[in-house]
Amino acid sequence: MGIEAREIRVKIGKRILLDDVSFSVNPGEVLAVLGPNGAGKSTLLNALAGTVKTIRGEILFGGKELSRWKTDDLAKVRAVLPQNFDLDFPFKAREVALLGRTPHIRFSENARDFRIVEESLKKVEAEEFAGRFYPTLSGGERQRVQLARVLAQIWESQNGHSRYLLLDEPISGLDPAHQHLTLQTAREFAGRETAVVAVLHDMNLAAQYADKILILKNGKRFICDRPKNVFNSRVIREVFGIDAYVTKHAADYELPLIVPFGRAGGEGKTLGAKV
Amino acid sequence: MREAALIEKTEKGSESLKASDYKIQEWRGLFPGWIFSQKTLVFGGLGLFLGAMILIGIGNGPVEISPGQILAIVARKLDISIPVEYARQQESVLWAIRLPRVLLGILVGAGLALAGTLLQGLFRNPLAEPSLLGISSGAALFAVGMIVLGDFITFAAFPDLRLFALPLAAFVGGMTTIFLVYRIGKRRGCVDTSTILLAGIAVNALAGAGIGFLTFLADDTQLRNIAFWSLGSLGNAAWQNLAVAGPLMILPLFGLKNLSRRMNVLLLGDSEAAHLGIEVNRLKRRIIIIVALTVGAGVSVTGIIGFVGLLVPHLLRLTVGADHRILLPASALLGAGLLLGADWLSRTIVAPAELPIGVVTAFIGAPFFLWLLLRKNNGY
Repeated sequence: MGIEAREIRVKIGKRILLDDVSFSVNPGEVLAVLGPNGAGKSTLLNALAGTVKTIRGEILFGGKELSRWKTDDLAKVRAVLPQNFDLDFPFKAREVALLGRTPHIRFSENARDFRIVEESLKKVEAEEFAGRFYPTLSGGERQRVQLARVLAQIWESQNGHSRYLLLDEPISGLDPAHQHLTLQTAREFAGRETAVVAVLHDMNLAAQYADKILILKNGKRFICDRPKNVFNSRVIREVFGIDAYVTKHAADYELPLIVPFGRAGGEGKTLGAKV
Repeated sequence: MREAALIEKTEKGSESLKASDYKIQEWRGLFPGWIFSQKTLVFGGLGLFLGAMILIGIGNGPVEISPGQILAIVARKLDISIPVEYARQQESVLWAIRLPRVLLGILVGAGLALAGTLLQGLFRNPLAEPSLLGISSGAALFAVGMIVLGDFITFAAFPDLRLFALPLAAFVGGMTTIFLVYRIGKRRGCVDTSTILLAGIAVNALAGAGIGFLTFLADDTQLRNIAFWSLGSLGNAAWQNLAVAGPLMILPLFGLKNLSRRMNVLLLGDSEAAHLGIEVNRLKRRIIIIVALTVGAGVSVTGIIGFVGLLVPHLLRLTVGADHRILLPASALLGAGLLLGADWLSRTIVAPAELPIGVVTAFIGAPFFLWLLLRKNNGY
C-alpha cells in the first residue's frame, strides 16, 4: 500500500493553502506534483511529511493514518528531501549522508551502514567530493549529498514494507545531466517497492519520469492523471498561463513533448518573437 | 579494487565481523586514516593539558607544592605513605584552598564549554553562548539583588542560610530566566529557536536594566562586591560551595548519554531531524535543562565568566570536526583546562592581589575569537 491523501485541507492563519486535495501513489509509482508558484506544492509535500498539520481529511502511509505512525517507525520507511539544505558546521559530505542511517542505528554505525552510504553517494555521483567539508560544496553538490542521505535512509526494504520517498524540488539546482540522474534514481527506487512523490517544475521531465501528474492550482487539485492525458495546450494555458505546443516525443510516441513559446495573451506569442 | 573486495566481504560475513574492524578498514581510505589516531591524539593531548593545569593550579602560588608533594599529600589521605617530605602548611593549603578551587575550576570550565557546544548545536549557530539565552544575566540580576537588598530580605532571621544566599539566588535567577525564555519561545507546542534567541536578547536587556538600577541603589562596599561578582572569580571556592553546586553540575552529565548522535542529526534542521525519527521537542527540552543546570549552578558560585563557552567549541571544531561524539567530551576537557589556566593567570599576574577571571578570559578570548573569525573566511 502506498501513499493516500483524502480530501486534505491545510489552513495557516486565515489562508487556506490546500483545499480538498486527494490522490494516491502506489509503491512502484512516481507522482510528480506541478503547479505555478504558490499553488500549494510545497505545502502538500509538507503535509505528507507531517511538518504541516491538516485540518481536514486524511493522509495514509501504507493504509495507516499519518498521526498514528510512531516517529521512529515512520523514519525507517519514509524519507523526505528538503528544499533547504543549509548546514553551517564542518561535517564532511560523507558524514552528512551517514546521518541518513540514523533511524536504523541503535548504538553505533556498523559496516552495513557505511556500505549503504558509500553506495548511495555513488548513486548520486557524489563520491569524488564525499571527503570534502559540506559547507565548502556548491549548491548542486550539497543537493546531491542530501539526496544521498535521503536514499541511504530508505535504502533497504524493512521486512517487505513499502517505502515512501518525498522530494521537494529535487532538481532545482542541478545541471541537466544530474537532473536526469536524480529522476532516474527516483524511478529506480520506485522499482523497489517505493512510492515516490516529487515536486517538479519542468513539465517535460515530469512527463518523462512520472507515472502520474498532479497539477495544483490555487491550492486545489486541477487534474491528476497519466502524463499523456494531462499535458495539452488547454491545461498548460489555464494552469501556467503560457501558450505551448504539445506534440509527441520523437523517441517515444506515448510521451508528450511540450514546447512552450510564451506567456498566454502576452507579447512574444509566436516562435519568431526574437527575430 | 580494495573497495570492491570489501563490499564482497561485507556481504559474505558482515554480521560476524566487528563493526570497529570495518570502520578502520573500510573508512581508512575514505576518511583519511589519521582520524583514528587523531582521536587518540586529541584526547591524549587534552588530557595531558588538563593534567598539567591541575598540577599548576594546585602547586603554584605563594606556597609552592611540587607534584611529588601533591601526590604524597593526597596519598596520605588514603593512608598510603610516599617518601616525599612536605610541610604541614602545604598540606592545609592544598586541602583548604587549592584543591576546592581547582575542582571548582574543572567543573565550571567543563560545564561552560559543554553548555556552549550544546547551545551552538541547538541553535545551529556557531555564535551561540550561555549568556545569549539570558541564563548568566538572569543569575547575575538575582545575585546582585541579593547583594544589595540582602539585608532587607528575611535572611537576617536565618543567619545559617547566609552562606548560601548568594549562590542560591543566582541559581534561582538563572533557572527563572531560562524557563521564561523557553516558555516565550514555545509556540503551539513547537520549540522555535529563533524566538528563543530573540527572547534571550530581550531578557538580557531587561536583566541589564535591573542590574543597573540595583547598582544605583548600592553603597560602596556593595558596589565592589557587585563588580567582582559580575566579572567572575574562582576565589569563593570552598568545600561547602562545591557540595551545593557540584552535584547540580555533575548530575546533568548523565543526561548527555546517547545525546551526541542526536545532536548531530539536529544540525540538519528541525524537520529534517524529525524525519529521521528524532523527537525534536523532547531533545531540545533536554538540552535546555542540561544547560540551565550546569550554567546556573556554575554561575552561582563563580559569577559570570565569558568566552569559554564560545571559544572552546570553535577551537575544537577546527581540529576535530563537527561530530558531537568527539566534540562534547573534548570540549569538557579543554574548557576545564583553559579555565584552570585562566585562573592561574588571574592569581599570578598581579600577585598577591587577584584579577577577576572574567577579565582574563575576555582579554585572551576576545582577540583570539576575532582571529578565528577572520581566518574562517578562508573556508574550513
